Amino acid sequence: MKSIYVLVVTLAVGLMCCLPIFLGPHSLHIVILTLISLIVATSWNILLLTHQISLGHAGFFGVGAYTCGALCEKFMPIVPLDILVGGIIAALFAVILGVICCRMTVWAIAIVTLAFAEVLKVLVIMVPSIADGAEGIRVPPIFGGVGYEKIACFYLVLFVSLLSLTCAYAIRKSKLYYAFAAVHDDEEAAGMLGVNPLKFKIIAFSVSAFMTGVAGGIFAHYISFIDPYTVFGLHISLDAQIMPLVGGLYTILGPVIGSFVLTSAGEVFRIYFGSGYLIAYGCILVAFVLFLPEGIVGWAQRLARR
Amino acid sequence: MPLLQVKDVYMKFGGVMAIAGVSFDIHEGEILALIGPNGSGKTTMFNLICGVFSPYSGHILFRDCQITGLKPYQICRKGIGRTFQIAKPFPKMTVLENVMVGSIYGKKNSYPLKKAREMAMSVIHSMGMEQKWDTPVTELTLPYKKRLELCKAIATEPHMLLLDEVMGGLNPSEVEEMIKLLKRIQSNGVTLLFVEHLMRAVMGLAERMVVLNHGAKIAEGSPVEVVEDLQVIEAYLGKENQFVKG
Amino acid sequence: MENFIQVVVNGTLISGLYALIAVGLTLIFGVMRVINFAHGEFMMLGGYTTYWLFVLLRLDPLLSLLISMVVLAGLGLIVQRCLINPVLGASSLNQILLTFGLAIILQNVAMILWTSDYVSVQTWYSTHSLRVGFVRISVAKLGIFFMAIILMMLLGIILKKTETGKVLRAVSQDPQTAQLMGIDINRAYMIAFAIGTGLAGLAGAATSTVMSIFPTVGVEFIMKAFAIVVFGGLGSVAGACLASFILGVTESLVGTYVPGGGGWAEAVSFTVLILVLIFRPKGIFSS
Repeated sequence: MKSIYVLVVTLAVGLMCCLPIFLGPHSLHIVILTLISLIVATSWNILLLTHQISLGHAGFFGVGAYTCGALCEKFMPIVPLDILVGGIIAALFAVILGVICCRMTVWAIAIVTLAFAEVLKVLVIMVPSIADGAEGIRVPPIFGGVGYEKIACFYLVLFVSLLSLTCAYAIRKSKLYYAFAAVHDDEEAAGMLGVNPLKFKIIAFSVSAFMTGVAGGIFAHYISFIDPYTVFGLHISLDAQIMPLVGGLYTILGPVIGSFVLTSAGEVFRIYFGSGYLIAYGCILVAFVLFLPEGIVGWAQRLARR
Repeated sequence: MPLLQVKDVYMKFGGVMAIAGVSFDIHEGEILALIGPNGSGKTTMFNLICGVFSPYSGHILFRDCQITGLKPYQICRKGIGRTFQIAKPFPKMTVLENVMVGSIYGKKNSYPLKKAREMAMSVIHSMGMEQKWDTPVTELTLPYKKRLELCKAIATEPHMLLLDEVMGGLNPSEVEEMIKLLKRIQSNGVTLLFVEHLMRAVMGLAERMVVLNHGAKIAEGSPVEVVEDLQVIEAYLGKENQFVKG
Repeated sequence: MENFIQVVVNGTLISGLYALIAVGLTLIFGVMRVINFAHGEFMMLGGYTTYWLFVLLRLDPLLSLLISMVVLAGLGLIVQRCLINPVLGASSLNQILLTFGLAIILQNVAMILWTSDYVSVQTWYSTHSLRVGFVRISVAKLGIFFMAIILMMLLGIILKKTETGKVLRAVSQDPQTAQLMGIDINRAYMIAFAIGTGLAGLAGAATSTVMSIFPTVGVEFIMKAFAIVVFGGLGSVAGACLASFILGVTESLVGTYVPGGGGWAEAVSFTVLILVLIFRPKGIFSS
């Protein structure tokens, strides 16, 4: 059984590696964006393990992106170091936010994270001295903008998204999982078994924010131009939660399946509905909550058990 | 030297004094029952010992070491385990995984995963739950849920175990089994402090008793002494309750 | 000094609007234990209702205020029945995602139907202002302020004195016991949700006369409403009013006196939210 999994994963990764041969530039662009949102979705799912619901992952994404932008503007581009720094700064924000949030109920966390992302967006827009305001800033491409830029970016994003999935898998197989799951289900009972709930909630927050910040940094370099509406936008936070939900919350595979299903669906919607595709996203979110809250993976597992 | 010393502890909720100047000791290896009518402050006392609440004043010492003001997880790592009156299993995990939380994090130095799994497994065996180790906890029946509570607490390898009504809702034969289990746990060197309503279980198990009423200690001694105590009888029968001190 | 008083007056007047939105939110949470993340979108829809009634039928906002309120209360009823009710027993995760998804849908539907342009209703009283000494007071804002005060008082009386109000309070204190006492809990949920969304619709209608309406206007206002609800205390109408007042005035002061202006004013509600939650983390939103 285990060897089958290994085989499937190897095949899938191998197939992904070959993608640039088959795909045109536009399709490759879509795949790159999908992988970036896959990283964000995976990190959101990690935070969820401790029953903390973030409606503001766009905040961390934007912090990562803007850190890269600022570093490249003030100093010379130092890729990929600036991407890491972006992740670390996002994680620092998360530690502060985590310290504030860790005693709160899940409702309050949702509110605070939503407000966090919105306030960052408003501040960047309204206070031009922070980061050129609503105008946005240019970010140099990672590989110098030469002909193979997109393909190189694709492999970088593929590598990072595999790393994030490995990280999620490692958490699942480590002691952390037991602490996360205990804190998720019952903080008081977890405390009685020696688990410090606050510590693990903050760990989850910072790991999650780090990954999202890195994704934001890569996005900034890849798109090479960022503005507050794009990187702090609600659509990023929406992506982060709808993909795990559609694929399957609490699972590793969930965000993967969710991101690919949704992006493909999103492309179709974009053709038919134009800019209104977010309506479709919202409808999918509502429909899955109402009718299939365990997601595609959970549904498949249920079918398999029968 | 007593294992646990509760020294003149007070606890206030709003303006209400829930615990008013309670002191008692627990000695290494004994079984002490904490009894009293509903609302007398037994569970509050547990929560004070476990660090869920911090006392308004007074001290709690465990192995001669101040534990007042410590957080629950710190107190757990010092060697005090606890079960809840209403079982609190982690519903998303199996029995084994539930117990493993205790065996991984319950001690000062956490075990590696593999050792923690073996340890949890042996606890599950010793509590007679080996057929259930892979069951999702939501599918357990009440007696097994109570046992799971015990397993989780024991997996933290405590010196002392606080049991909050482990007999509640069990039928007579299940109670007998639970009494046997608890005696076995005690014979392994674990000190037991338990809250129980079921007098038969209390009389069968306890070596000593502390009686609370209205947040104050009204009696202490061997089961026979306590049962003959006039104040206790009054407290339980509710007669002239207002004259009972406290 | 004169400027200062003017700023405080402006902040005070706007706080009436905040209170209308916040009270609906707190009422819904109090009774149903659900935070409606789409609450701001109901407000936005109320604003557009008034706007279109004005544009198409030349209906005066004073009249269409009520129509907006009724329309939004009706919409709230439908949403409550079809979407919120099915997840009431589910985990809070599902409830959060559901109302958040609803907010996204409403925002983008509005974006498609009415584009992202800012619109507003221009009547004689939206631009007219009174002079009291050296202070200028916008007629429309003053009207909204008094309307809010009257409505808050009315709501307070309804909750205290009437049968329905008692039912709502009973359900918010202990839904299970209330049910055992023979209270139709579903009816209480419907009433609370309808009142809440109705007030949001009214607030949106009022906003359209003194400020602008656009598809994401609700996001801005719901942040303030969250801060107010958390600050003022759950279920407390008086607390919400006081918190609205403090928030309105503080924002107005920050916007005027802090260099960099308007941007920082938007951060006031977030700061209030964080500060209150730091000091009372379990206080307000614990269930």
